[in-house]
Amino acid sequence: MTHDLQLVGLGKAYGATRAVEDVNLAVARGEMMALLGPSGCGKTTTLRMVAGFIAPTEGRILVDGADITGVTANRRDAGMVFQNYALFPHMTVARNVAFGLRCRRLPDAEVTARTAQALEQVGLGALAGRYPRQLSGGQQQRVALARVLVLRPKLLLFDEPLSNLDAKLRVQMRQEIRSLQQSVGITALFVTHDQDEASTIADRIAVMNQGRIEQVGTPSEVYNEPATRFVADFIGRSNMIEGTVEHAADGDLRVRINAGPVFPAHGNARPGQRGAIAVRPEKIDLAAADT
Amino acid sequence: MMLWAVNALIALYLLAPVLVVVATAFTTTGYPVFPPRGFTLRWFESVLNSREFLEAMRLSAVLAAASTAIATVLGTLAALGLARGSFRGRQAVAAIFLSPIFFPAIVLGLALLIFYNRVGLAGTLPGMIAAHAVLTTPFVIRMVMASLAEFDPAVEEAAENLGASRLRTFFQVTLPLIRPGVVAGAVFAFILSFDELVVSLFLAGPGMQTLPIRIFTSLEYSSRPDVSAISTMLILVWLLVGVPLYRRYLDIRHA
Repeated sequence: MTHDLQLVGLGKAYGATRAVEDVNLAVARGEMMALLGPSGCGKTTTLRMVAGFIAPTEGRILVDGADITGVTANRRDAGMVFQNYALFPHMTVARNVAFGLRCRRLPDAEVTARTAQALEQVGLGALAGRYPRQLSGGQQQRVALARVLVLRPKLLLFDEPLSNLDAKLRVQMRQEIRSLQQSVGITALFVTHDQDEASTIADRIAVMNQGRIEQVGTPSEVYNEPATRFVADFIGRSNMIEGTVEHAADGDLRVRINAGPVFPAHGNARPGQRGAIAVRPEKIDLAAADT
Repeated sequence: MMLWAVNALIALYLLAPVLVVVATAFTTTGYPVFPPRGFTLRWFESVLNSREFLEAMRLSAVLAAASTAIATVLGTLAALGLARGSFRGRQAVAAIFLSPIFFPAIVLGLALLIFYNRVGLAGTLPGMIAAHAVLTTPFVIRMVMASLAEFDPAVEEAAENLGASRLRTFFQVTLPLIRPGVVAGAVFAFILSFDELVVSLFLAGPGMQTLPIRIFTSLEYSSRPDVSAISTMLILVWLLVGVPLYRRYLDIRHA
């Protein structure tokens, strides 16, 4: 049983500052959606609104079509993995994982069984009696993961969970998180500022900038067909060449580069519009000039 | 070597007066003298047989326990509000809450006396308890705020996210994590209240003798070494109770 998530016109204003503006996003059942953008783009604020930690100033959050905008954080059933793990330092690994089950007042036998199972799932069965401070960063990350997976939540929320790990472990944990999420089939939102992370872990990426979503698409879509100049610039490397559209037909453009040569391009634009062509460095071939 | 000598001197400077008091408690003379002459436990016996001293000790214990309980609850709640809240005038409220630390006790005593006479609390035990709570709450606030400063608020969010109510989050996550600060504040409050003389002198009714008042008056009217004996007993109690508490909750190496 998996669930879908919809954000409809979601916004958050702090006084005159608009941290998030008119965010519309549909995450399909079992899909992993990355929220990608530079710091301050509103991705974390969006995630925290879904978690229920921040009340949106406009818009709605729907799970399976039901409005949960007014539901308190402790009743949202959206398991969050925090950037710094946020484990309970005074509880053992097992008690950390059992915490959510205890909140649901499940019988002891079930709590014990499900806790043990969740710890096995993340490969930490042997460390149940340890305290968080006795674990490595990667192990703490797994505890944080087990702590939410054990509840079989409707949604999984990840707030830059890998940014405190070293490079090698980060790549390994990406794969682990991805395969765990796929095996349990829980719909997930994954906040990151790392585009490699977003493209390897997510089915689709929502690229955010200045509080808005610039583009939603698969990793190859946002890379190969950036919808805005920001996306072209932010994802991968691009050469930006300014010019004016001379001719447009069915997305095939002719763009004149500042009174110089005319280039073919692809995109939505009208003749006369100014803009920039983004050229990926690996798409440039050098050939001998015809003399 | 030099450092060791300096440390020894400082320790001597701090502890010598205390050691002198302890020594004089065992003198056979009818007045405190140092070095003590002979050895007797007579003054301890005299204190433990004195109804006034025992009564004073009981009153001070009740007063300290009650005011500590109030100060600990109020102080912890106030610290949480000040640390977490983002309301206008937060700084001003914090300054007001902490101000009893900086008021001279004699001013506070007089002010409370005038106020208590109006509302009929002067000379009553509830009045004394309330006054001591006013004196000690700021210290609880300080201690709890210090432990909240090192507290990661994400941990509370995690609890909520996992389905915990506000109440459960407080008792199972927040409170255990700030407990060193709460215990330190409570111990501090208890010691301050148990030790308080000036404000108590203003507010105590006839026949209400706290231990500090009792010691103070008996020094005024007699010069027997029983005051040394009772001081020695107090030191012993703090060594037995205070030191383990300190090591358990306040020693930085254990934090």
